[in-house]
Amino acid sequence: MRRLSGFPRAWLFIGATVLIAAGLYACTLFNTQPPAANNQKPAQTITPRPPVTSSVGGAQTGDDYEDPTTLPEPGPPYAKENRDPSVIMKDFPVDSEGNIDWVKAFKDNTVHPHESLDLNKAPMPPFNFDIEIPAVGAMPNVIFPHFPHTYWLDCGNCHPSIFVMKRGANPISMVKIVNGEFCGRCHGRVAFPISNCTRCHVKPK
Amino acid sequence: MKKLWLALGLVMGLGLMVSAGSTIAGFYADMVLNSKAEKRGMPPVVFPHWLHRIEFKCKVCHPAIFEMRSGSNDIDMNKIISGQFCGKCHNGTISWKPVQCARCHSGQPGLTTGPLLGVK
Repeated sequence: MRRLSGFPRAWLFIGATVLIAAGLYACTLFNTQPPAANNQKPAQTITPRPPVTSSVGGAQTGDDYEDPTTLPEPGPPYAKENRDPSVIMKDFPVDSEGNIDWVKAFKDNTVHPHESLDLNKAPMPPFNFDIEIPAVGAMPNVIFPHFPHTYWLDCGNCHPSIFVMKRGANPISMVKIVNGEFCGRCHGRVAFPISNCTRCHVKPK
Repeated sequence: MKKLWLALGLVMGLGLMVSAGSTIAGFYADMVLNSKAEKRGMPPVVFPHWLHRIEFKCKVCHPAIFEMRSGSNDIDMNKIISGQFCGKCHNGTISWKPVQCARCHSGQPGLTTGPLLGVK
């Protein structure tokens, strides 16, 4: 008790402040080092790379060609700013978990993805068909909306190999979904993660 | 004793801050393609799924060009250059040619084929 009163407590406080400041300084150092390294490279080349707006029909820039006699250096996947998703997708709508909400993104015209490599192909008309899937216990039931799925996918992506087109014929469970069957073929791997329970379990019993 | 705990906590907190502030290791939905790359002396491929999703619906590539299961597509550079798989678009007409190796072969050695983050 006596040790913590008066001077020692003040010293503890000062020490803690200094350490936190040092930590913050180290943090900023680590954060700024890679961009600083990247910023030096465009200064050496003549033209800075323009930001990518569309990859379709894009012009071939000269610095895409490299010395074919050297092997690439392995590095972080997003070496350049125009390939960094956190830069390109920074204004995209996000869901409650902070992942990009792709359904909201196409509904509010943030993205306009192509339907096919054939640019004249008309988009599939909306298929508004919701299916209620009963959930175990007190969990709210799942409403599966066909529309956002058919916007991104064809019927043949899921039917009949992943889901049999018959009510009750698919023994779906969360264990199977976690292990990559049924919804888990995409959700948790490329579509929004299954940790976001309330995005599927929406209808209270 | 309390001083010791405080110091320990501060050191651990500092470590956490430094590790959290390191460079980007990847993005959700990125796919690692490494069934052949490292065996043939190249770094693994990291495919940025969501960068492609901005421009194309899933149905453009799946399942006609790529089977929707990691490891089930037998991709190699010969096939890409002859216009299969990635080469359907990455041929200089729809998108850039596959001439800059490091643009795709960008993963750290030792990554396993499948999603980079999320469930394996």
